[in-house]
Amino acid sequence: MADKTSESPDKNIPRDVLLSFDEGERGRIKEIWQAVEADGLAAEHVSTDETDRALADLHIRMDFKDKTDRIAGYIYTYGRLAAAAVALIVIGAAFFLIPQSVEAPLGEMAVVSLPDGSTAELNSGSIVQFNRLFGITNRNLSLNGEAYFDVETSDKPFRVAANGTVTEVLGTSFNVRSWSDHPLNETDVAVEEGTVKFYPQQYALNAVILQEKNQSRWHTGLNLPEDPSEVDMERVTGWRERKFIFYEESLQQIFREVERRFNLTIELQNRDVATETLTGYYGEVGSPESLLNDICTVAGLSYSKTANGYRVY
Amino acid sequence: MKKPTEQQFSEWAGGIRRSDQRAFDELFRSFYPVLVRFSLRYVHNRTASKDIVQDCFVSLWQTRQRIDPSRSLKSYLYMMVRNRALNEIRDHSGVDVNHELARDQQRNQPPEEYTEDENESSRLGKVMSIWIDQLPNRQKEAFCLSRFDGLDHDEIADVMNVSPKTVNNHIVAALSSLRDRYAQYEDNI
Repeated sequence: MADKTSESPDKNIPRDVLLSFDEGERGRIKEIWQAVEADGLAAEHVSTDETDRALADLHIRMDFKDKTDRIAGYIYTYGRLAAAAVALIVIGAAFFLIPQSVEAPLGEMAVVSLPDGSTAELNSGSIVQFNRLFGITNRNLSLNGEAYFDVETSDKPFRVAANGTVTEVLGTSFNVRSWSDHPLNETDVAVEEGTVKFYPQQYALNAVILQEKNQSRWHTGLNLPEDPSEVDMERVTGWRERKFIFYEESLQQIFREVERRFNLTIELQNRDVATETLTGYYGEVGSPESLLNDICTVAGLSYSKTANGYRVY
Repeated sequence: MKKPTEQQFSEWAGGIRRSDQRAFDELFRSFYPVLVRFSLRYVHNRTASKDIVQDCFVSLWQTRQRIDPSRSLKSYLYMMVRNRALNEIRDHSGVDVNHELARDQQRNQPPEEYTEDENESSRLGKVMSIWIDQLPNRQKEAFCLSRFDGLDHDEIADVMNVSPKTVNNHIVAALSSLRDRYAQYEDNI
């Protein structure tokens, strides 16, 4: 409404209300309006943390999955800038800017040799994208999933954009895990060797510097990534040896990983348990069934086989 | 937190209609705390209030194609939460009896109970909230939506399903009775 009271509704009494009182009374009524404290009634505080957790639960409950390829970040913004340039110059140049993607199919892993001599090992279902000028004018790529990078030293920064974060290095090896279907868009970075700069895309100044054997994490709602802390790299990179290592991981995320690694579908019927967390180490996993059996025993769940996977309840 | 503007609400409504998850998440982040507090005014239980608001957002998403762009999304959400909260009270009216009793005892405590180090204005604020709590339901609803949620008469009318004129009457009645109790209170000091 174009009512001027709507500008600061907490302060001002609506005009209609005030005009309903006799002129002599209005001062008193205003005083009462101000004296009412938000206190007793509105004091219940709901924190950002609570809100984020509720949102994550909601995503799980509604089973939001990414239908669109949300490999956002550099390539996307770069592509948009480029679109204007291309219109002006030559259409043929577009060829160089069309992203190339490499994907590790579900149930498999892949090693990608990048044009600059660096390598990226991709966990099942992960995808990296970069444009054809990678290694020539830039070393920017986007990731959805989990990858272990071994980066050739160069004076051009090597940047990984994932779920609203950027991990930037000159030459080193490190692991990034960032699934776009994670309810909080969580990104985990752990450094094996060298030094890494890690920051949310929108707040490039809020970078944390990770040294060897350091890890950090960012998720939606944080302005700053978590402070670097020591990490056991074997736990982080266990997937490269096809191990399953979970550290206080939600059942939802654990089952997603099992789905991707074995290319099957796990239907979690009891969605209430999806947010429960579990820690576990499985060195050699012969079949998905033995792994599921273990997880279900620990979590007090049961499972049965379906046409394309398992049902957990 | 800063209150979202009308324009933001209509942008979110448009985004959600187009199944834009990002718009939905933004709306949730900025409005969830407000709605949980709103629900708590009816259902005096935090967990139940959170569930109610959660359900409303689920239903908003499920029926997103039917969002009416000409209507205020803000009032619509308030209305959904209110309906569910009232249903919750109706369905579980027996369950929370003890809780209600405890609350009645609490709110009937005389103001003298408050410790002496409190200054006069915060003490008055506390007494005021007790009086507000004791207003007739409809008056209390309209008054709180206006004073604490900053909704205008048209929006409150939407939420409570009455006319803006009635909304005004409720608020005026609420303020009149607060004024009377305040006068009594001052006499007693």
